[in-house]
Amino acid sequence: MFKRALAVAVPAVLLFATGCADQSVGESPAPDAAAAKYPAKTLQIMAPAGAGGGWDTTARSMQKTLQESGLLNGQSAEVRNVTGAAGTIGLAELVTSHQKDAHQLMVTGLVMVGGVVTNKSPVDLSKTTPIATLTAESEVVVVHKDSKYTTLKQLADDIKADPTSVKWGGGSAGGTDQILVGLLAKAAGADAKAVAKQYVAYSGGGETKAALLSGDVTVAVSGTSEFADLVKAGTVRALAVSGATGADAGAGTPAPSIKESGYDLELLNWRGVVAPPGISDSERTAVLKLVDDLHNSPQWKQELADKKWQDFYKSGDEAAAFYAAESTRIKTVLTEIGLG
Amino acid sequence: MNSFMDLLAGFGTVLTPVNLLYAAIGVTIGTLVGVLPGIGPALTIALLLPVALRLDDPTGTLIMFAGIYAGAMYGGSTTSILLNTPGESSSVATSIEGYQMARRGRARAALATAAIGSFVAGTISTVLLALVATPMARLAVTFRASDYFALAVLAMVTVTAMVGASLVRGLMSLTFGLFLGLIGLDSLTGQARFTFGVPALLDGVDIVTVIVGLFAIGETLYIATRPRDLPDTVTPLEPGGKGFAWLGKADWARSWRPWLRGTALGFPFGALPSGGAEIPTFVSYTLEKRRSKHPREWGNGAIEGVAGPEAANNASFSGVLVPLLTLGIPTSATAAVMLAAFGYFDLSPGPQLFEKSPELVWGLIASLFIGNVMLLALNLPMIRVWVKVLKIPRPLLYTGILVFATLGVYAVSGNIVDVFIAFGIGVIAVFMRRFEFPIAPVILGLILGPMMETQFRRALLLSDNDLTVFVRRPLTLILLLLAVAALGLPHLPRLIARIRGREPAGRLAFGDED
Amino acid sequence: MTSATPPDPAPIAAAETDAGAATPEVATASSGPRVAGTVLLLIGVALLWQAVDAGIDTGVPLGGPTLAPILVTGLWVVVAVAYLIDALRKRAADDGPADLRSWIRPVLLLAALIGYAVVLKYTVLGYVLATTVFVLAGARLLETRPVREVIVRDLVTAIGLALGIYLLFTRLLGIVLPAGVLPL
Repeated sequence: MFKRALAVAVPAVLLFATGCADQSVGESPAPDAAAAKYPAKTLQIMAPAGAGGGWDTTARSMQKTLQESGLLNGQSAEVRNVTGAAGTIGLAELVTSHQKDAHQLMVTGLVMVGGVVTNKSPVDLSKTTPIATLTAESEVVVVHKDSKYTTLKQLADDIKADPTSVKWGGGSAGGTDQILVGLLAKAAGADAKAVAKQYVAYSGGGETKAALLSGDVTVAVSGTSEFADLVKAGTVRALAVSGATGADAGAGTPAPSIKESGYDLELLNWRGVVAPPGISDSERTAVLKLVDDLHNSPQWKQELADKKWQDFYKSGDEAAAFYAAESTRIKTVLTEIGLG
Repeated sequence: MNSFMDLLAGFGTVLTPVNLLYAAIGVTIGTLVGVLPGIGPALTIALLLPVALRLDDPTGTLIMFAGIYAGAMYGGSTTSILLNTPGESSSVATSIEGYQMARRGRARAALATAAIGSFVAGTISTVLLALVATPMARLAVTFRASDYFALAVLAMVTVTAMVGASLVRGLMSLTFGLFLGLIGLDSLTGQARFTFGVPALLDGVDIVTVIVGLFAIGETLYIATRPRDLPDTVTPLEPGGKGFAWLGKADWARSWRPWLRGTALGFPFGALPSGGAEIPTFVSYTLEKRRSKHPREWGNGAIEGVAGPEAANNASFSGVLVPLLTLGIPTSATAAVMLAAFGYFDLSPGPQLFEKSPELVWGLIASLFIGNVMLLALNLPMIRVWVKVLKIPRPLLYTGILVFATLGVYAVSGNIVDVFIAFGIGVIAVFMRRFEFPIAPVILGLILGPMMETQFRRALLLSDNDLTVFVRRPLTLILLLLAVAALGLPHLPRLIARIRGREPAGRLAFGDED
Repeated sequence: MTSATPPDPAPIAAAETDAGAATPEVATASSGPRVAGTVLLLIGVALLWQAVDAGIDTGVPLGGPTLAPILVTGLWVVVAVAYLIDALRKRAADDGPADLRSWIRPVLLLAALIGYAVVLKYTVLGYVLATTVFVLAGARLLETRPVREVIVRDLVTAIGLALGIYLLFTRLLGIVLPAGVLPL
């Protein structure tokens, strides 16, 4: 009998991994009490994408840091994944099912801002209670080492003269990479829609690399870390990074920023955290304090260093203003390149 | 000898306690699911994905998955020999002679020739994989969109040619898979297709959901239509075994040639698009039957009929890894899930993988050698354990599978809609089984369809809508011509038979799973 | 195929008139494949309609997103027609008349499965109780032996499976399952 049960249970245990933690059982304490000692129950952090991605790692780093640095008031934190449609499915769930629940947080980012526009999502970030931005990664524009382009200006001049002369490769349609291409075309004074039509979407960095190296695309756009090893090896050349100032894209010497190349454009692939709508002011203050403490903890600094994330902290009203500004800018460019 | 150094480094990767543990877990689970009917390697890997992601160790995870794949090939033979119900469709050929041997009190010899043959074939074919991988990857660096399109066409044509029993039913399954592949946002333009206003469909139907629906839910619901048909009697093992490793002198003499011939068949067939393991096992069975010096034993337990197909079965696995690792092209349902696993780790199989993660690629290849040794140990001395596993009451086994299927899908997506999509696909799968539509083409259609469409459109986009892009590049042209030639592939055994002047015993066909 | 007993002509004749079969071997012709073919064709036409509709809206450029849906659903319709023709022509002999009773178990099992998922997601019954109940129900639906022969086995496995997963996952792996009315 035992062996039979064991034979079922062993694969069972190995097969099944993550829970279906959906119910947060337990009564919600009064708002004031909540502000006094927050969190008062298990803190739920939603990663609105599958395991292993950027949002998931951010959520799990937050969970780890909060628990290790003892900020949780003796409570625990759980991470749960809700996948789909650039995070807009998770966003919709947060806004509709978890209203007024200050113990439900969600990781968000630039990709969700884009996803709201391209997927015509009925809810956007303005429906949430913005808490803070946490990290950011700069984008990089690279060409093959045998390419005729050595500066971003040459590239920009070419697309201004003939928008179809350059084939771009990068991540999914309407994602950060294509947004950057659209913004770059605008900044260069080129026909943004015609340029964005030359953009070929690839699933993942490996495919984009292969396409650049085989000669399918002229220019690749991606997160800086993705191409760092190829830049280091000298196989590809970094023309520019998308942050405010130049940064090392792998070559050992800093690559210029787009701004330094003469185009007024900055784009960071940022990630942040939001709370559901309808939480009280005191609850909001409590959440803000928790995330503040998280950001100031040495454990978080260590996480940033380990994961090679750039610290990009704005909280409270500053974060709300940033979310709003990004939403406007991204919506505009996506509409202009025909993806809105 | 560059590959040799790489392989040595790979052994360095795999011979760490953690990775050895992953390999051991993998081959054990693999043998278990191979032994158990109703749950195969594709489903197992799909359900294990959430655990794997939590472990955050791509190398270890893929070593484990490869172990599952290889282990299922070993375990499948145990079930087909002792129960006459192949655990996996690639073991169907083995069951023909293997069960007869068991009935005549030669179960141990049958199990031994299967296990040792699998070991020999697995080891030789892994050497071949190590030799072929680097040149293939180097060639693949130059592949462009039009080449990948041509490759997808070649794969699609061979899938179509191999759908087997009924071309119409096979095509219908393939079309269903192609349709599932269309659901969601178009990857190049972000336009929604066949989403029916359901937000959960925007990202398309996940392969885990489809596999769980087709295999776990579909199989169990189908079993429920005829619960009395569940086989329950296991042929007992005869006490003790004679000769070295249960094989007498004559058994060794009659086994080693079929092992080598099976290997020679299995590896290239596995590497072919849509190869899988069923075809080489049947070809091997036919070949051995024809060459046999003991024609009267066939049908009554000829040892060659076990040795050859089992070797082919295991050799095909290393073959499957060639296009999977170097080109990112899956040639079987299990390979398709492994491809999805790479994707979850944000790794793209293909030439870049050899550049970026050599320790993963070579660790994986080296782990196959280690896994083969482990499997030999697991399958011969520990055979009594697996016989016990065969006695798990079927109702509990299948209910357990349903629990994991439900929780597995929910764990991956966190969305209850995906669970219901899996149930829906499961209901469709019941009818597919009822009306004998093959299952595997659905998976391959789901994977190859989007690949073909995307690469076609990329090639057009990159050439400014110039259709001659598909005939200008020699490589593209050659692959497309091969696709035309592949249309004749299903007639191959008949041709061989005609040349040799006999009728073939097995036909080329896809089974339900590899 | 040779039969040990000589065939009794009367039942065959009866079956022939009943089913209108052309040959004595085909005693019963199942309507299953014909129904399946018809359903497939109808779904195919509906999907093709949707694909063409999307194509009319935006045009069907060679490199665009509207071409593949039309090709695939078109293929679906063609293959469904071929299947239907096949089914009508063969009047394939099936494994007995369509027995509606054989569908009772799978339908109940599917209902139990849906209930299980809904309970996990939307109620506070909790994972352990829900799984125990579902395993008991599922095992019963797949079992052909009488309850009293297997009830102990089933109970032990159901509780063991649910508890085993729960303890190992929450305690060992730190993964949370839906909590319910039980303190677990």
